[in-house]
Amino acid sequence: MKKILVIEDEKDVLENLCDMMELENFIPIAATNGLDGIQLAKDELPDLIICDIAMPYADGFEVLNVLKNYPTTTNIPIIILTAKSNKEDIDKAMKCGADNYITKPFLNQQLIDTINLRLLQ
Amino acid sequence: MDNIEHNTDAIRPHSLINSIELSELLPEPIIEIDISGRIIYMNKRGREKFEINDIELNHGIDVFSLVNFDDKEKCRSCFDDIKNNPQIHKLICTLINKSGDTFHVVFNLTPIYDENKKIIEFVGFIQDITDLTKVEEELKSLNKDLENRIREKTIQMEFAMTELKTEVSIRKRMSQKLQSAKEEISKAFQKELDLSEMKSRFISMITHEFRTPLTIIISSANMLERFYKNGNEGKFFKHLEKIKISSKNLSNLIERTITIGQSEAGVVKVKPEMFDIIDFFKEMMKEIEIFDKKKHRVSFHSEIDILNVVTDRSLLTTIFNNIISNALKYTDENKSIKIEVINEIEFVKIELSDEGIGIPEDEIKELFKPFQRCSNVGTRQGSGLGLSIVNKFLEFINGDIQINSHINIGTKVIIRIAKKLV
Repeated sequence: MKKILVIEDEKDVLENLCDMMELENFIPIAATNGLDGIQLAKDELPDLIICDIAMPYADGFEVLNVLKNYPTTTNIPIIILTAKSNKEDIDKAMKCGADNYITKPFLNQQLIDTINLRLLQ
Repeated sequence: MDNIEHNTDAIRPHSLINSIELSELLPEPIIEIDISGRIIYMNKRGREKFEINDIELNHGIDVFSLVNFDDKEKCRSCFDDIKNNPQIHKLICTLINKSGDTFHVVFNLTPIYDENKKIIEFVGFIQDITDLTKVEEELKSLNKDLENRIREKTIQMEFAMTELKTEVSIRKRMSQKLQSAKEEISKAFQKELDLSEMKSRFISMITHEFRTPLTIIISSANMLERFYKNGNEGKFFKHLEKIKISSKNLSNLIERTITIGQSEAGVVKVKPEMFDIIDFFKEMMKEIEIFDKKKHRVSFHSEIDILNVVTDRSLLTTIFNNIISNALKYTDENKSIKIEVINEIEFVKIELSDEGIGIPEDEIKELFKPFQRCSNVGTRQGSGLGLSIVNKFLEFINGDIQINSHINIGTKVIIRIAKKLV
């Protein structure tokens, strides 16, 4: 079973994402801020990471910068899932090494399809 | 004078000018007249100048016949004065000859006395001061001219000065007007900037704040069917509840956005009514207790039992819902929140003190702007619209708000509202 790390500060959204992962037979790992997310990624080495941008302690850009430049996590696909929809944020995330960028609100199937595609590669 | 008298006495009796030849040669006119003014003698120069022949002289010509008509009266009275008081021995008048030439002259007369010290006649020079008078007159006219010109110039200068002063004051006023126009434009520009900034912040907040509840609603709704099918009743109802709560949050957010939009557009209607504000707060306290589930120690205090006010009840409800929900949101569980009502002359003062996270001092003022939130809110949910709505609504009911806060100690919100809204 694939491990999916979900980094999201909004408790209700985090809960839904985790439920969604379970329904698709993934093992969700939850982190409520960027700093915890980075630590859990290094410790658990998940198969994929879903990450928000606006979060306390370390934001999504920082998570990308650290994990994409850390030897054991550099190849883990990271999907950015955020309410920020302006071009600058998307460009910045892609520059930091994001594999996909999905804006909230999203359809469950849209996220699941993206995850499956990334896991195949 | 004594000297003259003495000499004349010596040269008497008949013609006092002994040396006629000498007087005939003198270049100035000499005259000898009796006390009636009849000319006894006039030397050659005099006869030539005033055109008198010997026959006329022998007949006894009146000296006043030589005087210009206008001067005659004055001259006679002056001659009478001299006779009475020989100390005045000068007579000034204008003489005219047969050709019509006029001469401005001074008679310098010396009285001649008989043995009884009685004046019998006068002798003297006739000094022509026509040229002198002319020069004097010219000088006078020059002076007058000069004076006139100076006066004229002064008037011109004063006028110019007044014009200058007027000009200066006009310019001053113009510059003031220009300055205030500039300020107005800059103010309008700033207002426009603020508005545009507010709008863009509004849009960005909408995209962010509206997305969160929508994300939950959509994702929960998407999962409902799956949990129903696989019989996971717990998860099914959990997500159903989440949809309800998020829908309510979304609805509140929309409500607040509309409220702020309406108050900005000035379409909020104020409906004053009379009610007891103490009762109003007591009712509100009951609602808070239910809503807060006794997580905080909320207390209410008032010195008086009944306090009737005339104001908009619905606006007041919105104001205190916002203020109290802020206090609950930013104060940890089990800490206290106090509400106190103080009766003032024209106002009711409501003080709300909490033991919450506090507001950084330099951010307090900013919080009254829409979508503005504190830097220390952390993960606490909020639209950043609450205080902005409170501030707007207080304007409608003649109230004001003051916030005193200390980080991690607490916040005191002091609200004053007019007792009677007219």
